[in-house]
Amino acid sequence: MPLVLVVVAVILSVMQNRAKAAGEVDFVSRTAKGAVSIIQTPVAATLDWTGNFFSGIVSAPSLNRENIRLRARAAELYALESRLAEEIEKNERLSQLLKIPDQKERNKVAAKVIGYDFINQRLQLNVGTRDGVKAGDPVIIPEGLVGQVVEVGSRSSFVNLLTHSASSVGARVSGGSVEAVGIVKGNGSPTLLLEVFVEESEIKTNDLLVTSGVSAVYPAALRIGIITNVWLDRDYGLRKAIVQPFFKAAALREVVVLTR
Amino acid sequence: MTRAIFSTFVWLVIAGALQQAVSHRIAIGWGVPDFLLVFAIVLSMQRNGDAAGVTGFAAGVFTGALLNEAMAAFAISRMAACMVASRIATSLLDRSPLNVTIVASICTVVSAAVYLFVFPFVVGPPNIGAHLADTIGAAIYNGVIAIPIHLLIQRVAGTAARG
Repeated sequence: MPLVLVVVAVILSVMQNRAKAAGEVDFVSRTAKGAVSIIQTPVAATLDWTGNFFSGIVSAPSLNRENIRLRARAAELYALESRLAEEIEKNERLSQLLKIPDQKERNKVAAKVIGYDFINQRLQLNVGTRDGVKAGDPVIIPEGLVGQVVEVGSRSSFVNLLTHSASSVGARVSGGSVEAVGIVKGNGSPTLLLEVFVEESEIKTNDLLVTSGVSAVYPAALRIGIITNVWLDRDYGLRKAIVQPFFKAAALREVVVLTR
Repeated sequence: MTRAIFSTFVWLVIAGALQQAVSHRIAIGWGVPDFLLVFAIVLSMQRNGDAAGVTGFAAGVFTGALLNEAMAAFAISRMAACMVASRIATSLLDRSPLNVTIVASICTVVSAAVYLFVFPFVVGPPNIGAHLADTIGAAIYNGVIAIPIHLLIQRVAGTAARG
C-alpha cells in the first residue's frame, strides 16, 4: 500500500512539475485550491473582522489620544491655512505698492492701516514722525490718491481720505485736448465732487482725473478717479461732476505715504 | 470506509483553509503551525497503519497542491509521519492531551526528516539550517495546537457516532 502511494505521489509530482513548466496549474492542485478556497475566504474575512474588532478595543485609548492630537493638529493647520491665504493676499498688495513709481523729491514710506473711522472718513496709519511722516503728506495706493496726512504722532498718524468733507485737491482731466482744471472735494460720501472753473473745459463721463500739480501738497499726475456724471450748475455758472475714487476705504490695508 | 474517506477529505479541506488563512497570522518567529500536518497526525492516531498512510498521503498532496510545489516530497514525508503517529498511538495507554502533544511534535520532526531526505531528489537541496529552525518551531507549535484539534475531532466524531 505505501509503495503504491509513493508511486502515485511521484506521478502527481511529475504532473505538477510539467504543468508548472508549461506555466499552468495541474488538475490536482487546481482542485485542492478550489476546495480550500470555499472555506478559506469566509475564514479569512472573519479573522480580519475579528482582528480589527479586537485591535480596535485594545488600542481604543491610544486611538482616542491620537484622535484628540489629530484634531488639535487639524485646527492648527486650518488656522495656518487661513493665515497663509492672508499672507499671500498681503504679499500681493505689497507687491503692488512696490510698483508705485518714484515721485520727484519725495520718499515713499509704506504704512499699514491700523484704523478706519467710517463716520469721519479717516484712516490711522502705523507710521509717524519717527518714519519721516509729516502733516500734509499725500497718501497713495497703486491705483491712485487716497488722501492726506492731517495729524502725526511719533508712531502713528491720521489721514483724511479724499472723501472727507474737508478734503480738496486740484485736478485736471488726463489726456484731453483742453485740460480742464478744477477742484475735487470730498463730501462725506463714497464719491467726490468736481467743480470746474475753466469755462471752455470739456469734461465728460469716464474721463480720468489726475492731480493738477498746481498745489505744493500733491505731486502732479496722481490718479484721483473717474468722472461718472457731469452737469452745469446754472446758479454759479460752474460745470460740476461726480467722481468715483479708485479706493474703497474699508478695503485699504497698506498704503504709501509720500514724504519730503 | 466511504464515511472515513469523506470525513478525512472534509477535515483536510478545513485544515487547508486554516493553513492558508490563519497560519501566517499566528506565526511566532520560526514557529509556524502546520494545520494540514497536525490534522493528519491527529486523525492518524485513531486509525490503523494503512489508513494513516492514506491520510498522510492526502495531507501531503493537499500541501503540495496549495504550495504548487514538491507534491511527492510532501506526500511521502507526511505519509511516513502519519504511519508513525498511528504506530505510536496504538502503543499508548491513552490519548491524553500531553500524549497528543508529544506525538504531534515527534511526527512533525519525522515528517521534516523524511522531507529533507526526499526533497533533494525532487527539487534540489534545501537550506539545512533554516529547515532545522523551521522544524523545531513547527514541532513546538504543532504540539500545542494538536490539543484543541484532537478535542475538536473527538467531539465531532462523538456527535456523529451518537447521531
